[in-house]
Amino acid sequence: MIQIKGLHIAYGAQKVFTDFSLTIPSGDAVLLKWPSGAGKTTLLKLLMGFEHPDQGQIFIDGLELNKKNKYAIRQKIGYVSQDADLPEGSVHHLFEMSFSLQANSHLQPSQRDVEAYLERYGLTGDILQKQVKDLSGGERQRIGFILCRLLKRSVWLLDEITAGLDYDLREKVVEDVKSSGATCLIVSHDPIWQASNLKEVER
Amino acid sequence: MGAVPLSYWSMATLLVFMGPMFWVNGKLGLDLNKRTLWVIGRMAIQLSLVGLILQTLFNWNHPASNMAYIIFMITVAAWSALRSTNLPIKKVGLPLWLAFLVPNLIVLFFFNAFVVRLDTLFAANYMVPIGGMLLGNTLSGNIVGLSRYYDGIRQNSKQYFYMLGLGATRREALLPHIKAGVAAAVNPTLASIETMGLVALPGMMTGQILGGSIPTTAIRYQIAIMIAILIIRYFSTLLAIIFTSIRAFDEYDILTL
Repeated sequence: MIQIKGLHIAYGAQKVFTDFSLTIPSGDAVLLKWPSGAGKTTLLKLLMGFEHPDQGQIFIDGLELNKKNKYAIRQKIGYVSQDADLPEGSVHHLFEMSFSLQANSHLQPSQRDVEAYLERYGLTGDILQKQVKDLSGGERQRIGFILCRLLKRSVWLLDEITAGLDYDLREKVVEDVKSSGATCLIVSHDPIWQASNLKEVER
Repeated sequence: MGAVPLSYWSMATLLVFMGPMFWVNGKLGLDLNKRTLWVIGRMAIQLSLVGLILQTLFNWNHPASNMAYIIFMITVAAWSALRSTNLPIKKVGLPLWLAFLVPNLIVLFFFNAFVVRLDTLFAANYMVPIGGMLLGNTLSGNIVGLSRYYDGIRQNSKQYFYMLGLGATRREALLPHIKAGVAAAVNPTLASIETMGLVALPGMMTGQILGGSIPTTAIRYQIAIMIAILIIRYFSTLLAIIFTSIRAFDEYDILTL
């Protein structure tokens, strides 16, 4: 569950959010298709604790985002972005590093799980040897999404994850997001999300 | 046997070569003459003043004055590192000073007590030059290491946030940058150790031979000081990264420098 209460944030004279509130019940997926500059990226950063509101509170699964709970909150969130800068090295190294983190070591996936996800999203095992910097935009999105699924996060923040994918893959992603049981905030202008009857977040 | 003393006149004879140099500079349109004269004059004044201070320190040879001079040098070095790395003095001045002070004092006293085995630990003629060499390397190592560390975080901020987003703690997310910073600090010393004696005779060894030491003694000192330099660059940079990081990030792991 995501709860935002009375959020205010301004950069100098520019007010990005004024008394903004939002509740996304557990397991629901909502769509956010605000125009550029309306605060999408700021909102995602706020939810991860990478920006601080001037006023207001953020709760993730009932836990308030503050300096004490920041790690517990980040460990609940899976963030997938089109332009996420994945750490250097191979995809295999990215997976290995992600599950070697203290917070994720108990989630170590089996080779079978990894391969099943790769296959579902139109990738082969060869991609594991590929350097992250050599991945195409679509491959990065899918690798990020697979990682988010393997990490079993309860809240997904998905930033334009279907952009550039072919129709079949986009359908699969939409289907999987809707049936995931995770609380999802989807930032996208892709009509496929609108067609899937998701509730839209008003600005 | 000591080094042959140099008169002012014999030092000035080197200026004979400056004439042709200035003439060529003029012909090439290379605007270096004024600066060359300025820096040579400045160096002469600086070193003469340092010479006077050192002479006084050596005459006094008192632990308190020697210690005060070492701490003064550490403070100047930390300040210089802050200026070169553009780090804010208010926020990280004290942590950086501590990162210079603690390892330098430990390594300096260890060197004098267990390597040189001095009877008088605070002897000015060992404490000041060896302390100066260690400190010079602390400074250069930290400038490179801290710049690499903080620039790395800034230039790869998206990667840093991605790591935090994966559930990494601040320490886990900073680890690649800590490793890069420490490696940048020690790599020049490792390279210099590798080629020591092959490319050029190192300064300390040259000084000792001119001062009358036999080459085998000079070599032993050189080996010991190079190991001490490597240690000081490693630990002072590591500590500087750790100490300054305490003040450099906010409670949500955002770099605020």
